[in-house]
Amino acid sequence: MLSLRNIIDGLRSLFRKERSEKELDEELNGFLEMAAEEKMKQGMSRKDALRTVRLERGSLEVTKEVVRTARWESFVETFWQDLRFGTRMLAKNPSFTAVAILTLALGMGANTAIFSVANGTVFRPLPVNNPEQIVVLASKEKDVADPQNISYPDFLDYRTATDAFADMLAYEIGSDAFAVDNRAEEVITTYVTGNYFSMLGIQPDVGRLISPSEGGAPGADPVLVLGYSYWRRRFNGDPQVIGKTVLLSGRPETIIGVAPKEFHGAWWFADVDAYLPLSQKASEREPFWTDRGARGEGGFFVLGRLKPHVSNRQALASLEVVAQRLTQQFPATNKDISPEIFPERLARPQAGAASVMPLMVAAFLGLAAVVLIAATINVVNLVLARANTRRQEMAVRAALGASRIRLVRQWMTENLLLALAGAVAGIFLSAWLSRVLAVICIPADFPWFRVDFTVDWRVVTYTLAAAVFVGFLMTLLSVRRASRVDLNTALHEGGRAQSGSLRRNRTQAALVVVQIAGSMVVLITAGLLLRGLRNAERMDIGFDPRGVVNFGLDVTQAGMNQAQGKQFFARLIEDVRALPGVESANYAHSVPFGTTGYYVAHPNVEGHLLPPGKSAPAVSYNIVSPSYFQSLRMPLVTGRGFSEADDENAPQVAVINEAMAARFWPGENPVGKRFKMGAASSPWVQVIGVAHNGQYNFPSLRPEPYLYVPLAQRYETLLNLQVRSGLPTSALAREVQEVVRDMAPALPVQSVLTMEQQIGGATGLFLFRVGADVAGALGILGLVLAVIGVYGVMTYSVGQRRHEFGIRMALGAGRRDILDAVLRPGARLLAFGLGLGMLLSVLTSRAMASLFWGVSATDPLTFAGVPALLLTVALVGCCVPARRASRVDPMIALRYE
Amino acid sequence: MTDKPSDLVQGTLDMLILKTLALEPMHGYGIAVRIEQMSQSVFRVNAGSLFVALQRLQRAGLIESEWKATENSRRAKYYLLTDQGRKRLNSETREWGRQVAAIARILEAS
Repeated sequence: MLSLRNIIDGLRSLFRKERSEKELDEELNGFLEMAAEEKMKQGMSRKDALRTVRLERGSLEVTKEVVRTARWESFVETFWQDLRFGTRMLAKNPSFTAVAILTLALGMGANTAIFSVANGTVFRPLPVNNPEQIVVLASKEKDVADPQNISYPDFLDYRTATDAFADMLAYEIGSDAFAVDNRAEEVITTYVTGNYFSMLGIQPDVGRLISPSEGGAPGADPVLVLGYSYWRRRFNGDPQVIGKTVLLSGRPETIIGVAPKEFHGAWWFADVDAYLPLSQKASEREPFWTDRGARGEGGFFVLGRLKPHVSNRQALASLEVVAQRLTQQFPATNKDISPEIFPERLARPQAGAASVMPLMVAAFLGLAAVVLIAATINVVNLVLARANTRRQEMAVRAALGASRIRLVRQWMTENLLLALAGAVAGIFLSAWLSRVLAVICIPADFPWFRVDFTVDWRVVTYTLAAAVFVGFLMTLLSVRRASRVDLNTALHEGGRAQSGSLRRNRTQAALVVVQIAGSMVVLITAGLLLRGLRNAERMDIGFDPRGVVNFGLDVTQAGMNQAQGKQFFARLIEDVRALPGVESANYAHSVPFGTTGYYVAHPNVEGHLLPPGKSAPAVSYNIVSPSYFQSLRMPLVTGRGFSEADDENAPQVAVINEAMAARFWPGENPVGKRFKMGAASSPWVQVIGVAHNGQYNFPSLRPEPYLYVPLAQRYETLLNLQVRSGLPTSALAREVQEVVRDMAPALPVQSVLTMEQQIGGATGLFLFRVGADVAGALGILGLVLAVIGVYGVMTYSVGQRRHEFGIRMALGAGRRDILDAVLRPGARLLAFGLGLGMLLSVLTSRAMASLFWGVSATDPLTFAGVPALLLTVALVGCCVPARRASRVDPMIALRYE
Repeated sequence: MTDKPSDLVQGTLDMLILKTLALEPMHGYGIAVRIEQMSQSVFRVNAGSLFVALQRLQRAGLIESEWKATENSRRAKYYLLTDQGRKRLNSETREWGRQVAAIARILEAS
């Protein structure tokens, strides 16, 4: 136990070593002298007296050593000694040291880079007060897989659960046109409840923030808080902007303050440009104040701050009490709704992530760890080779009285030193790697995505922990060779190592097997992901995506009402169709894997009407212009598509897909059948056609029911103008943007995305692509390390057996015999490694298939290709040293001794 | 029984040192001699264990040390008991008594 006194005394003896040594010396000397004097009084000679005392009480030097080693600081001293000795040994052999550090740096760099991505995604907390108290609330709807955002009325009711929550806030993330000083541009906005900043504990950088008393009544409090970086970018950090009025999507708002630099908004992946009270949210499209059923796309992100010492479970229980009351009170909207709670860090970007993110992070950290172990094994092989050449040194030290523990400690210090050097190099490498990752981690449809993978203390701690692990692992795997010193043979052998046959070097053989197996797991994972991605990219999305570009427009951003909006959309599509090179154009609210959102209906079928209180399964739907099916080249299976005649005065119509037809009218022709989109009070909608199945909101293997309604019968302000042309995207974008600017100068085009970009976007295959890319890079690294490992071990073993081969050849063995002698054990190791790898891969591929949609756990090409690839390159790694062995000139080999 | 001095019972040296110092401040050799005398030469204290114990006790704050001249005008490091050391001695003596009595009862039981 270390008391303060103990620490101070220890430090004193460490730093004033001479003085403390002298004191101990004097004290012990005095002790022995006094004892001797006593003996001399009894008549002994001084010499005899001193000898007797030494025998009875112990000699001066031994006593000193005993006293010294009883102190804790002696541990530090020894460590320091070992460190200096280790550094000298490493410096003496620079090529070994460089190769070892470089190999470790590759493994460590890959690990650190992946950890810094994980850190920037799920480990780093929000920069708010007590971030561990912040939880994300969500609505779980029966039969809907992912938890959804919460409707505003539900939020107000959940907020009454004050026994568990200190406070609760709601916000929405979106985009608006920001116009001031004759310049309009699109900005990322957040509409917040008044307590947003106070609950998070955020202080303004300049001016004031939105206060809890603001934002409660529709239209009230036209104020705006700037995000720090937008304030710097747009206003050059001028504090005079406070009090200035700007036009936000056509509404005048007064700037009241600037958020602090480190705060980017509660939504992790955005850097919010402007914060506004909820009361300023345009409510024409969504009557969110009162619509209890407006969940998901129409709902809000809700954060709660737990009271101290309240667990998530307790908080959930008190929300469930509220939810039960709501179910009874509002059965139409709240019957199948239950609340859910997630720690904020896991629910990024939304609550649904909480079920996959931890697994995903664990999977990739696991893959990186396998690569690190492969790198470590390569270095262990080097270390083992060196252990052989250092046997003599070890023997000498043992002969001089070093205990085995002492030798092991020295050995470990050297390995730790090597691992730490690798870690430091790895951190530098990862700083570069994570910059690359930060670029590939930005989806095309979210160019403003904020990723921050900078190296912080968590990353450094992780890497250092990995280094210590690697250092111990290296020691563990090499210590038997290094410290198993048989003085007699080692000193006699004159430093020559014993036979290097692989059968004798069991450790090395086992390591090669493990390495090949590990590399195979990583490669198979990478192969499955890449193949899955390829399949996903080639999937049938229901129409021909080639040459289609989507332009996102929201007419509320230009302050248009319904009449103005309809007129604008009608004129815009005519003008765009007239552009040279444009083949066709149409409107759609949703595009596959798009970010403009989607609506959900609960179809109630005529003849099978459900009793009140029961609702049909959710079916998402799209709002499209009449030209939709022709323009996207989407032939209908039966019936007809929409025409201009299906307007607001005509009976309501819908086109459904095959999956919906099979689900709601099994075995019947659905054309002509009628249903209601939701409540019994809503009008009848007639099915007029059936479309092929496709891909809709999220990638899915199973065909999902889906339906389309005409734009003329369901006004929508947020639309994608889908244009098919043979023009390059940039040229088309310029032309279309010009048309928009001519017609509505204040209306920004929100997004310009090709269908390919949309499919690879954030709600599409984005995560899949990043995962496949990262796994692919790790796979290549693992492959290279495995080949180096096999090559290194074989080369070493051949080198050790030169003598043996020389004798064999002198006795008449042919080249083939020598090749055989080298390749046979090599091939046996490969077979073991591949077998073990196959076994492990079967397990891990299942996990991958469950994480990534579209990945087949039994893809034959991967499971045949990867072992073949590994076998080929590993055999090459064996053959080169084997050929060298077979060319040994027996004369030279024997004379070499 | 032989007359050969025996090693101390494990863990008792600290207590014996504290006891010795409770009488008067003393240097290392004096402590060793005093323990041997008081035990009537049953115990022999070797220098290694003695100084390791002294170092341990000092670092635990139970004793202090200062350099002084001996009666033979030799310089020696004298150890003296701190208040904390005195308390520890009392509690250890009591505990020791309890244990010895208990062990004696067990050994005499049959």
